[in-house]
Amino acid sequence: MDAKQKLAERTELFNNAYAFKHNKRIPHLSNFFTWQIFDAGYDMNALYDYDIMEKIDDEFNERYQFDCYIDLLTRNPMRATQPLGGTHRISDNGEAIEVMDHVLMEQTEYQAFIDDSDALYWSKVFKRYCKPEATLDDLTESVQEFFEFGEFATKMVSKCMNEYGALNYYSVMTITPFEHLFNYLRGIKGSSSDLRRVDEGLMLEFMDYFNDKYTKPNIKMALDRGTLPGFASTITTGFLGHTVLSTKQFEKFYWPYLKPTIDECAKRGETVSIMCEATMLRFAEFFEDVPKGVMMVLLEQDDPFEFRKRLPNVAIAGGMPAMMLGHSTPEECVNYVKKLADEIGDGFVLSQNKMMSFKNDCTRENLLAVSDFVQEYQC
Amino acid sequence: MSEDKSIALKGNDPIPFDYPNGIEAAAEYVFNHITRDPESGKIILSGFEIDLSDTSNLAKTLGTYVQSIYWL
Repeated sequence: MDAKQKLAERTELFNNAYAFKHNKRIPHLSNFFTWQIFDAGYDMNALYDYDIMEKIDDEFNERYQFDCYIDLLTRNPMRATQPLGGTHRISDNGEAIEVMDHVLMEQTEYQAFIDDSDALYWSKVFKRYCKPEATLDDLTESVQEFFEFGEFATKMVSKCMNEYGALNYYSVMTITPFEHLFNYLRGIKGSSSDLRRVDEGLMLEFMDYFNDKYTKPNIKMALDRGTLPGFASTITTGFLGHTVLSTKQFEKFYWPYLKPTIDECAKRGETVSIMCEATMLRFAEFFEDVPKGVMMVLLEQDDPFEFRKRLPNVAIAGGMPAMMLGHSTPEECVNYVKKLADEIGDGFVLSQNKMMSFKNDCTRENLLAVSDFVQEYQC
Repeated sequence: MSEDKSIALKGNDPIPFDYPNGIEAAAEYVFNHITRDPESGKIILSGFEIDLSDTSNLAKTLGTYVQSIYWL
């Protein structure tokens, strides 16, 4: 089968999974990130060499034959972030990327953001992102590397589609305003304390402003062009900040900025995928009325069997525990995949329940066993 | 921004974080020092040619970078 035929088959597998149509085999989604580097015999410093990363990706695809990829080693553009300091660093032993919980916007700056976000971004947010001694040459190097990284990422996306014959999991990633606070501007501690300490009206004004200026145009662009060939979904969003919200806070600060996207996808026959960290079943009531065929959730800590019972209208990606891939036998892994496929049934894509990042997250033997099994097993 | 002001900036100068003059000056410095295509002499980044004569667009391009880099 050539790349074009593979892509057509894999597109059908994912379309069927979204639509709860029966698939002849289990679609397999790669949630592998930097684990690939260790599997190929390198350490994290390989992230600085795009030729090596491309070689690692090629070998990974050849060996495991995933149907769809979340990451093509394009998640960590260290060459672009390091000249300015950044918020990530490779650990001394080369086995991990360490991320600091960081504050780029102060609690007192919500109004300033609303007044002129471009000014705040340059004069405060970006200044805090940079190391104190950052020079214009550092900035020039970072900008150059940023765009070169963009070229590398574009090349890999195209290669995935045209040479691997595989899907990219998402084309447009957009997050709600609260996620932006949680992940980037205010950090975990800052964003959760703001929910109690910052005037509620001001918080909501910030979220409306952010949504209108940054999120909505992105969503409109994605919806207007529809799901692109070679991609598994129209819009993807991340669920991380929900972990610090109560149900009432979710209803007030999160849901109003997510629901319109889901509704619009349903109206236009498009799809939305949610990449969820931790659990989301405690917010299940909000998703009960999403029509079948619109939404897929990549699960981390939610039990997939329980999720299917609670939200039978939402397709599931995930199910395969990293703990099992890293520490069980090939037979145990394969038996568990069979149980997942048989019990969850349609509307299911097999993936890993973590961003597979570290050396011990998986063994090659186990992943080969699972990859071979999903190619053959008739659901 | 004027040519004189651009010449006055040096690579080891700290990034000027005032707004909007700082970002305009920084943008002009950055895009005048980025590696050019050896054949055409143009600056082509991720498939887009940067027009060095359009000062306001340079600042806008740098602003887009600023609002993206901290996501990564």
